[in-house]
Amino acid sequence: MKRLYRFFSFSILIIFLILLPQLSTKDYYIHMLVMAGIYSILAQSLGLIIGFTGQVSLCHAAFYGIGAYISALLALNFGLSFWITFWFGGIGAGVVAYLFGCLVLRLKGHFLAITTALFGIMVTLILDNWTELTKGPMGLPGIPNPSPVQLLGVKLQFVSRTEYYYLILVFVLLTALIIYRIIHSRIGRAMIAIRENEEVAQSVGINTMRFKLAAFSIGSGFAGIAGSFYAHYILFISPISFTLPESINILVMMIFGGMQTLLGPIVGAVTLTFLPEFLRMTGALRLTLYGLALMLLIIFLPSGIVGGIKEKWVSFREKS
Amino acid sequence: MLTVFLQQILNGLVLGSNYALMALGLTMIFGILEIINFAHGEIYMIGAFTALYFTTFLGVPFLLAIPISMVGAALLGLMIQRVVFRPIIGKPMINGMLLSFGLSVFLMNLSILLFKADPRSLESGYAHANVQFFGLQITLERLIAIIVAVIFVSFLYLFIQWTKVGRAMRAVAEDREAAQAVGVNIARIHLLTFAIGCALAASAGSVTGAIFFVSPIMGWAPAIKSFVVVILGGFGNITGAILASFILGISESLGSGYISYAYKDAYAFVILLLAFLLKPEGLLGGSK
Amino acid sequence: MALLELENVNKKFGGLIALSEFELKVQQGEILGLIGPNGSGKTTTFNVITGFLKPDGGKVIFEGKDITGLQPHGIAKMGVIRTFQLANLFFELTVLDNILIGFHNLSKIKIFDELLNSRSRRKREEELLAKAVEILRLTELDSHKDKLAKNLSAGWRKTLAIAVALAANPKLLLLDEPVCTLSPARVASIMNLVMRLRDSGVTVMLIEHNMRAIMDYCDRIAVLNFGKKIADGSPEQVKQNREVIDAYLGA
Repeated sequence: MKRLYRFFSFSILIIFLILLPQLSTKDYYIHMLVMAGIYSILAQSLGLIIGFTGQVSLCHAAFYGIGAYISALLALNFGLSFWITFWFGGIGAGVVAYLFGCLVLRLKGHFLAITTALFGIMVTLILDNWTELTKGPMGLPGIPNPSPVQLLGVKLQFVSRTEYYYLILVFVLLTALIIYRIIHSRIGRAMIAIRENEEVAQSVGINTMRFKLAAFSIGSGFAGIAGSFYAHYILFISPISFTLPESINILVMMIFGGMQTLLGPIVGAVTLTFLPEFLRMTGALRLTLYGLALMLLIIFLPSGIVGGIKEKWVSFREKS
Repeated sequence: MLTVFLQQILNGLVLGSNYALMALGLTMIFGILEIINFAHGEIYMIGAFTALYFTTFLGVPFLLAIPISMVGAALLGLMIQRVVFRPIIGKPMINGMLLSFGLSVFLMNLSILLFKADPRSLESGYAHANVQFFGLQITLERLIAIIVAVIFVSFLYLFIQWTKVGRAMRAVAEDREAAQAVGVNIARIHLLTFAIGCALAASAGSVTGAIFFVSPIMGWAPAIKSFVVVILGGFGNITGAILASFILGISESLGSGYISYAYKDAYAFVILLLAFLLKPEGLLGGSK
Repeated sequence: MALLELENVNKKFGGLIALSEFELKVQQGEILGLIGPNGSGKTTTFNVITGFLKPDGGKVIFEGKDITGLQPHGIAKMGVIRTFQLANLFFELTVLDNILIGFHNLSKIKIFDELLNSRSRRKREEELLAKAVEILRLTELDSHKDKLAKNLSAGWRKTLAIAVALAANPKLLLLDEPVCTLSPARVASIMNLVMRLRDSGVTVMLIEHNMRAIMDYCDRIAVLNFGKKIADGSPEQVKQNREVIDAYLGA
């Protein structure tokens, strides 16, 4: 019975998401949807690292950037199309994360956070200064859009934003599916154990380093894929999109939505992509409010929106 | 050749003094309150702005503005400890971390909104006086930076070793329950430690603000490097923090001079990585 | 051959000597008690055996293999499972989830099975659930199975810690103060559980301050004082040992 209900509501959701772009002709809103999609992938993947495995990474935007630059450089220098470059972007980011993780995932808590923040700064420094490769702050323009594909008789050229929307929708759903399966497997159980109590996890035979590395590499790999998409969507990238404030942005989205849930980061990403735009909050004002929001969230609603709703639901059921 | 080298070392001492003042506060706060204040860099920055305000608008002499900024920062610190950190005592460590991180973002960007991001100069009146010795040169301003650090570090050291309150602080750092059992007022010690940490950061900010410039974003890079210093020196370890500060300061100076100036913020990271590779267990604990 | 052997183990913390030339043999199937005044090195011993601490000198040998300084999870995989002094648990998770995590030790994770939720995986999950129910019954925790671990009383927490350790399929079970501060009824029920575990083939070593529990249930007792072993024998022998009496009176 529960199965049927879930399948039904899920189908309704999919139909809604497919029809969504038809609601508005304004290109601007479709663009917001695409960005919301990109941030959904970023927030979900950060959720795997911080929310489920308890490893605080403040450099998620760095892997977003690594994926973007790998893709862009392959496309610009070797003429490869998005369909190939995104694999390199994702795996590249994942490999860098793995190597970095081997060094630093032994650290816990604050020390891990600081070291990852430092790493993010390092990556920004390299992107800014290694101009022979990255053209520095000038950025890389002229990235090609994904080469056309035929799907169900329709030719997708990726010229209109709506086409990009459907593509990111597929990516978001795939990401969600993969993370869902990870969390509901014994791998996910081990990750949660590490988050909850690393000592006890070790004492029952869980190789904590291996699982931390898995979460970190997979999460960062997805960030890399998001970066590739971003590169082939905006068609221009520069280091400023991948700095520490961007990592903060993603972090707040994840916490706002609820970092220990699957749906939370998506809710957070969508809300915090649209809301600031509607309220015309940019730059320093946006970040000031984000800082304040982060503090208030941690003090009053640490499980975020979706998490908070879940908790209320559980205690409601327990009482009845 | 030698003069250039020694000159860089001298510059390194200036940098090191800066890190020492910040790292000292951080490591004490960690040793006693067991939290890391990610907003430490913003306290540094607020100290600089306070000194700027008093010297530029109220005509207060620079050397007087330094202690004033320290007092201001201490008061701000007390407020922060009460309002921000108290509600989450006992919650998982990740909460405290994210909380102080949010505070850092909030304070930095609020300052950008209020004061605009442009750097301003803090006239100390000592920028043009040069001190010469052994063929080396240093502006009086920078010399003051080193002297201020030396004075405060020594004061702090004596305070912790010889006064009753200092001993109480050491006791809490060593074993909180035992200290409480012998009658130490833990809450007061927490407030005092936090206030001292903030005051030290403010002094570093004022002095550095005079040497370079004052701006809302001046705090995060020194703060991150101070964190590295705390990690290298061992959390809660004061001597370690002091040593590591000067090692980092000198390395940065030599690195900027001989290798590359553009990557100067990266040297802290490189040193941290080297330390990990050479002594992976040594960075996971600390002695007092 | 002894199941576990500690050969000349030394451990220092700064200037403090935690363990000094500690020799101990744990025989298969026995219940060994480890006692001593506070700070005598008992928990340090557990930490060294299970890899949470590396000794400064000496060896730890389990089933004939040198396990000195191996990683804790590796030692756990070999069948040496420990509990912690203050009933360390996954407090925000339910009793059932706590035990399910313990099962991690049982078999290797097959990645594809897990990710595709294959039929064999679902069958495995059902088996694990059944095993968990069995452990819940054995430890009398069944009525609490959906409670959050943090909401359990001290006695049930200690029981849960043992249940989790049980889930990990121990050959050697190291219990750190399993009945300290509990009521006599609770002590009896937990110690009886320990006896039943021993009877089913698990070797048990326990640290305790509750002398009654130690004397009544242990086959053999080792006594530590300031890191040195001062006695090793049957409860009768240890009770009458002069040095032991002095150590406790002096402490």
